[in-house]
Amino acid sequence: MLEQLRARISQEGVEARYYPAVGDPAEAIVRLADQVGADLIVVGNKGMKGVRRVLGSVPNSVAHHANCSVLIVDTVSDS
Amino acid sequence: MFKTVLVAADGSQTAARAVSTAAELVRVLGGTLHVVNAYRPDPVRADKLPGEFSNAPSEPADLLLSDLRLAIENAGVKAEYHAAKGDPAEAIVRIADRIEADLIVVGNKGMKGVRRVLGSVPNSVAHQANCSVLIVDTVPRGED
Repeated sequence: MLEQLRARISQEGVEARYYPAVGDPAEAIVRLADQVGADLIVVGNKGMKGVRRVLGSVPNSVAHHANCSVLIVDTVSDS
Repeated sequence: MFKTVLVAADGSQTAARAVSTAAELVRVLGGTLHVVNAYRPDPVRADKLPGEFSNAPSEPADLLLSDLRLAIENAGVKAEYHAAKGDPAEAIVRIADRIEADLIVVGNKGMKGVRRVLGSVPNSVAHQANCSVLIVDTVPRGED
């Protein structure tokens, strides 16, 4: 999965760096964003539970704790 | 990618930053910017105004919105304007659905004391939107 992403990113000609994150995903994302001085964090909205759409807990937590802008990509509607 | 972008403006400075980010995105990506005027007038404040101001043509929020319109036009971005009544978050999501927006842009607003908090409108929008949501960090660096 990650290898496919890596191939796709490199096909797009985008310069990328990769970081392993250990522990709580949302905390790790925000911490790493602070560390690299990110302007923007991009996360998927994830999760539908039953008929009601819900925002996943990781994007929710990232949106609340990020020290930069956050793009929550709608990954439900297109699928 | 994002061709129909809706941005929520409420006449505040923080919303002004969200609008300029949205305008820049639309300028780069093409498409149309939809600006929703989603501020809620403060009836208490309005009641306290002395009589001679009751017909004042513009509240500060309106003045900011007309500044925004000018800034958007100067950026050469195609824009449409929508007035929203009632709960701002609900109105934003409803209009986004109607125009089939790909992206809603909102400011993160709110710092309370030393801790940063996500405002209730962006929080609600993030939870209820049927499209992607960009929460713009409108708290300038150094102020937090």
